[in-house]
Amino acid sequence: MPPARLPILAIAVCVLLIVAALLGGVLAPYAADEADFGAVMVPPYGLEGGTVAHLLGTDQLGRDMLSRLIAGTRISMLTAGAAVLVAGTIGVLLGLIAGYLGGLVDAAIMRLVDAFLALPFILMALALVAALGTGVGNIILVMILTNWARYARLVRSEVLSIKRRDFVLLARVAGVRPLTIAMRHVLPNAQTSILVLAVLDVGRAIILESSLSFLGLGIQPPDMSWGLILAQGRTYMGIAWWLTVWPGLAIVLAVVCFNTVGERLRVKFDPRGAL
Amino acid sequence: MTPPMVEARGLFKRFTLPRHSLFAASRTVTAVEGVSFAIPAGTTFGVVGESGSGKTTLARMLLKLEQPSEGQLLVNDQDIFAQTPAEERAYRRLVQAVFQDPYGALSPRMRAGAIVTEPLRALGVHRRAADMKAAEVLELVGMRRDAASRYPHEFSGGQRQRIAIARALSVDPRLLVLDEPVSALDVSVRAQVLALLREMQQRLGLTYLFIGHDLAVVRYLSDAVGVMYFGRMVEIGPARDVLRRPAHPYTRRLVALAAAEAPLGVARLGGGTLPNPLSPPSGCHFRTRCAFADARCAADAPALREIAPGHNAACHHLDAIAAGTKAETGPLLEEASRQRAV
Amino acid sequence: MTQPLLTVRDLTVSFGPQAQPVRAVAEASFDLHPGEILGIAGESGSGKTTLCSALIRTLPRAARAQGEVVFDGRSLLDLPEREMRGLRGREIGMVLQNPMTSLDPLFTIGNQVNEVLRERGARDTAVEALRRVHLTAPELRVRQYPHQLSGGMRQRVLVAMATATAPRLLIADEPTTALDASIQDEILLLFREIRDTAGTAIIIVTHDLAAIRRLSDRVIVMYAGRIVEEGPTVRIFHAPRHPYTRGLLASVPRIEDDEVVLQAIPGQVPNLAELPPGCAFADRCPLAQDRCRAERPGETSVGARHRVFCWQAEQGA
Repeated sequence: MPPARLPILAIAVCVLLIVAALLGGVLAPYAADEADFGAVMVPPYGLEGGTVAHLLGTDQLGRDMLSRLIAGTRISMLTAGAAVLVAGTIGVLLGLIAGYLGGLVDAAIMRLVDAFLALPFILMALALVAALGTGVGNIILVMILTNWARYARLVRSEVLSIKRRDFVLLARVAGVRPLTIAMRHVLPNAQTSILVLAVLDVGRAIILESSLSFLGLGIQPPDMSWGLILAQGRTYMGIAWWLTVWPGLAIVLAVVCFNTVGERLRVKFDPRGAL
Repeated sequence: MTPPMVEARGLFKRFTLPRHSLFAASRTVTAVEGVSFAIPAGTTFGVVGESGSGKTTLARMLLKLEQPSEGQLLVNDQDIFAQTPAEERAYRRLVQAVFQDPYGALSPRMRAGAIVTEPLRALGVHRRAADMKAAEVLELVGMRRDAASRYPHEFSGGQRQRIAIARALSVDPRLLVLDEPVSALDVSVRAQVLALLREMQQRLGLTYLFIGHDLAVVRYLSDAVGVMYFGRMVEIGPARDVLRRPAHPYTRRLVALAAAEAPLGVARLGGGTLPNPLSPPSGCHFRTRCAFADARCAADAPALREIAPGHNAACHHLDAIAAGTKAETGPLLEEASRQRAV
Repeated sequence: MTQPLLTVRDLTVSFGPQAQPVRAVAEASFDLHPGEILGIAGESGSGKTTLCSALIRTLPRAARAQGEVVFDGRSLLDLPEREMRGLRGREIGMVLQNPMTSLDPLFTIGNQVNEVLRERGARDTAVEALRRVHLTAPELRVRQYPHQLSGGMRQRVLVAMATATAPRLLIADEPTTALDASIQDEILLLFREIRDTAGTAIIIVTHDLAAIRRLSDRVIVMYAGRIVEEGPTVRIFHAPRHPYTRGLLASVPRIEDDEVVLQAIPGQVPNLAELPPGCAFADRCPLAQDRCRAERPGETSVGARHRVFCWQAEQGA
């Protein structure tokens, strides 16, 4: 195996998705919710009846699929990104506290972690949506609640091994304050594993959001996400495959690419994985 | 006579191990058992012993990384485990450490300069002043000034240990705890670092607690030596006396093994076994490996007693062994039932 | 003189690009006779461990080995991997540095020893194999797990596994480094005993000069990938001819002297990627002259089976 091959394609797709999410509407040829009843269910370009005007075809209301996918990218990526960011921050902080302080605090935090990891995700999502209602904010909240525990667990185990290392002992001997030790020694040495988990988690979060939206528990119209587009196109699967294939493909592509990049990072930073 | 800089009085350290099962009794291991010694300022006290002898625990207590279960540890007549926060800060400035592993002692993500200045910065010294001090101590230990801007992986093991020493010296400490500081180094580099440690002591008037397993290295640096075996100090005295005229059977064996001309097999035992720290042998801990053990050794633990000025050893048969009249009766093994309980 | 069991000629192990390779081992040549114990001494980066890996073909994939290694009439570097696997373990035993990680923590000692015995078609039982290496209470040990044994016991288990089929060559890489002095002594004795009873030739690789002096018949000293001196143990320790060997011996403090003195070799081990054209030791050598820096020293014979690679070998003898 050539050791230094970068997954260039996967990195490119990830960058493209992030750019699409940030720029959103600027890239899209049409407004995502612009209906055109003169061009309903136009097939993608290249098929009989397809036009260059609608490269990926249109849906049952004549909305441009490409524009809808780009709009969906925005919501899907932003929810995934926000969820990973917030869940990561909370998890890292709690893991740091648990690992560093140990004792009762550690026990309390880790039991909470176990409880959250044990709850079935869909059940928790259902309960939360029932209690709080749907919407972008709530879907992010659901994803934070289901994800933070994994960061806490990872960081705690990293802290436990790092805090036994000589340079941490020496910092204690020198009288460095615990908070400084955590920020200067423990976090930097744990950062690669956190980063790897976060990148892998983006793929996971995209799937979660799509599943929720597909079930009608997540993003609600007129907002748009890949899962929601998929759900709306399901009825017409038999006569207009492009309504479901494009969003499905987008989800698969995004997840595969983020996982590839994450895996590659893991191999790069894990000395046991190298060589 | 001036009071010693460091004084240990009857130190004990017991560790409680996690239980095997819910109903098992919790088990304790005594890592350090009734250890006393004193280190006059400006001298080196060497502690030798094999792995598991408790020598590292001793070092960690002096660094306040572990708290003794019993006994007192005084530095400049002050009990270091009864300090006010202000006294503790002052103590942190007084004592520094160098550990065995030159790879583990330096954070891989910090530049050498930041590593060296960390103890200073912890004391609230301004960055500019700290950086100047870093350049100074790096030069003191024979490193180039530009070393400060490089990362640990760019240095060899010997250079890393120099950086670790520079870091320890940065706060102008009076006391250095050296826990096997040269054991991980190559022979030729080891000599360089030992010479550096000796030079630093002479130039700066430092006091050392030097932990080691290589007797020749310990003797090179130490004024006084303590020999530990399974938590107990079995022999203590001036380095020359203890390591040239060892009295305790354990020290005698260590010295015989360390001799440059020692033939293979000088330590051959008649089936002796290492004790299990969870259920140490009764009486003298060394009786399970000692050639001279008898019933008395199993019955009571020998106390340290003086055999020459300042030279003490803990063995029931010191005089007979020294006179060469003690018969070699072979080690006194533990009862079979206890063996199986391992 | 008997036929050598192992003949190594111009063995070079290089890493990195073909154009400017880094030679971890360069042009090493030596013989090993049946029943002989050869010590290879050197510091980190001297190439001693790489040399051993090259002999038993366990080098990392990025490494290239050239030269000739003949074991019992077979050229090891050209042997198909399948035959090499058969040779390793059966005819060539290995004991590695770390007794803590060389055993699988999840299986009992008996389990692991038996597996090796079965695979190599040995007739011993695990208990017999462990008794042969003087492990106390072998019946108890076979039921225990690695973490229940001390470092010395684990090293005995590994030696038992390596010598299960009475190999003709045993390669031990730093076998006593992690052990206490008295345990070291016992393990070294065990090696001597294996040689005496089974006629096994042994290569022991270590930075511990005392271990080599006690155990081996002959010594090779390596520096920066090259053999710098080779000779009978007594000659190397009492009349060393290479300045590096002398420096190495002088940097070990001697406990029996009145005053412990210690002479360091100044400077650093050179970087293998930037070796000078001449002698690699020239920068640290007290005897170095212009010729040493310009020209790589060739082999000089300074007595029976005693050779040295140094331009100044005739001086200060």
